[in-house]
Amino acid sequence: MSRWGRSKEATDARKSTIGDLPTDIKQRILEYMPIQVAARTSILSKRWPYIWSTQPNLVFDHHFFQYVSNNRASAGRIIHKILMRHTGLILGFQLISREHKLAQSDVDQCITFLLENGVQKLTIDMANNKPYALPCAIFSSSTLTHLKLSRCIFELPDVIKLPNLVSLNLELAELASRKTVRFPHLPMLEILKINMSRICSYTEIFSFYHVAPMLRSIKHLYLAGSFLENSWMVPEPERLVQPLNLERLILYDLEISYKHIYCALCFLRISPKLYELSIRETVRVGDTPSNTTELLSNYFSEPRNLVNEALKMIKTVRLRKFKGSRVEMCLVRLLLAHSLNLEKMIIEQYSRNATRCNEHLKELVSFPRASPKAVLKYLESPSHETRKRAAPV
Amino acid sequence: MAEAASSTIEKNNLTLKSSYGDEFVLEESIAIQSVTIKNMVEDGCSSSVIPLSKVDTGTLIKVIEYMKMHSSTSSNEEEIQNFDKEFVRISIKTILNILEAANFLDIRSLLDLCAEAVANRIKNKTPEVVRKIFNITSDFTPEEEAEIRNETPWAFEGDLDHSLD
Repeated sequence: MSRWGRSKEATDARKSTIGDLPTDIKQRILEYMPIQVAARTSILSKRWPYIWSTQPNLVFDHHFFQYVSNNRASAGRIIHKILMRHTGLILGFQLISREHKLAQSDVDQCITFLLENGVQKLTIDMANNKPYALPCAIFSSSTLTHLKLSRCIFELPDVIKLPNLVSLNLELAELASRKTVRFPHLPMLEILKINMSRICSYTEIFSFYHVAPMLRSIKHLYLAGSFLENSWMVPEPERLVQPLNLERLILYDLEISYKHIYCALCFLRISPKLYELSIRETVRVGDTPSNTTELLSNYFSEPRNLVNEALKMIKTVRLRKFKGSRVEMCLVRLLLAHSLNLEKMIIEQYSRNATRCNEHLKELVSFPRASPKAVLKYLESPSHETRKRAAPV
Repeated sequence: MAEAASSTIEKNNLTLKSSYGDEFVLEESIAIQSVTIKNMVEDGCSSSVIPLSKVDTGTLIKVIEYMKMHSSTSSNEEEIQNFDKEFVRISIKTILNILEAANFLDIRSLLDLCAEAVANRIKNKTPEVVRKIFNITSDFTPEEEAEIRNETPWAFEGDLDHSLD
């Protein structure tokens, strides 16, 4: 219906109401609110309880748990009540708080309810003294597309069926017992994130061996250094030889050690589609700086063709938390010298000291670049403000 | 030569017409951030003027400003973030108009930006104030309202803001 000819005022008056917006947009607005605020909208008018009780994405984050504990209420009971009153599909469900705990029984109840109701995106990321034990049913869900498990302990069942899983994010996860069962190849899986802290004991139990069969279809791989390292320890036939579909490799921490560099290059060499390499932090262990730089130079210079071959496809390299150490400088110099098709080298500085950063920049721009297209971007350390809302896994 | 050049320009430009009849010429590559416009272009409707009967002139100007910034290759992530932050520093009614336009034009990122901005503006407000902002008339009896408050007492704890901004 044409509205031309109406006066401007009339149009403005008509429009300034949220009542005209479709339900899914109102739900999107509620999604950006802390959950207690979204629940409060039930009282606006008779239409609104419906909007709230069919909200498809429920996020219980730090703000919710803080609010609940300020009001001396039980988070578990409130979550349970919300779920019981919910009348639509719950597609996304997140429990996120690094400071608050939730009883095992509450988490169990949630997960069981959600799995029965066809949840697609599930995040369990709570603070706790010991890992949550997860029900096996989680590994045979036909609806899950995104799964993030943090500080969880689980037993891998004999049959793992996650036919629609696109993204799997395991952080400090632990396997309960049986070491021989492992994740099978998951047909839809494109994003795999595995972040285990070096100090946690679980890495002994949950290792590269358990995820190796999943690698075939992965496009975006996020890996902790310790995991990278144990890709080296898997038995011969499991070694990385078959071509992968990897497009982006993100390393949470890269140690400048023979093993790490070797394993990283292995990944690069068998990933003909890889265009981005990102290193969140470069760490140095044990060796003195001169040893490490020497090691790097030696390693890169000897099998020169192999290194060029491994780095040939890369268009973007991103280094975060760049502190300007000798080792990091050496790594950048070598990456620039061997990446024939590099387009962007993005370096995020760690220091906020302008003089020091200027010195780093001067040194960085002086390095020869194998790719004539390569541009060097040197960015200030990102402020905390830029952190946006919790992404859905 | 000149002819070829002008036909290329014509081919790459689209004319968008607001509900007030004002026309705006925009590069096709920028305009197709809107899935609605993209579909129209693919269906061959781009040769003439594209009427946007649901979008008034002021709103369309803002939407175009947003699309231009977000298609610019020269701006980096930080610049875009700062732009977004400034972009929603406007009255809540204007944001709602843009939200509605973004929904009609199907521009996902703009929709998310505005939804988040609306959420931030009203999250600490009392239900009475939220009703005023959104022109909602409560059709609950006081008893029904009390019942809802009793059912979800935890949602109504804490201090709330009574101002309209």
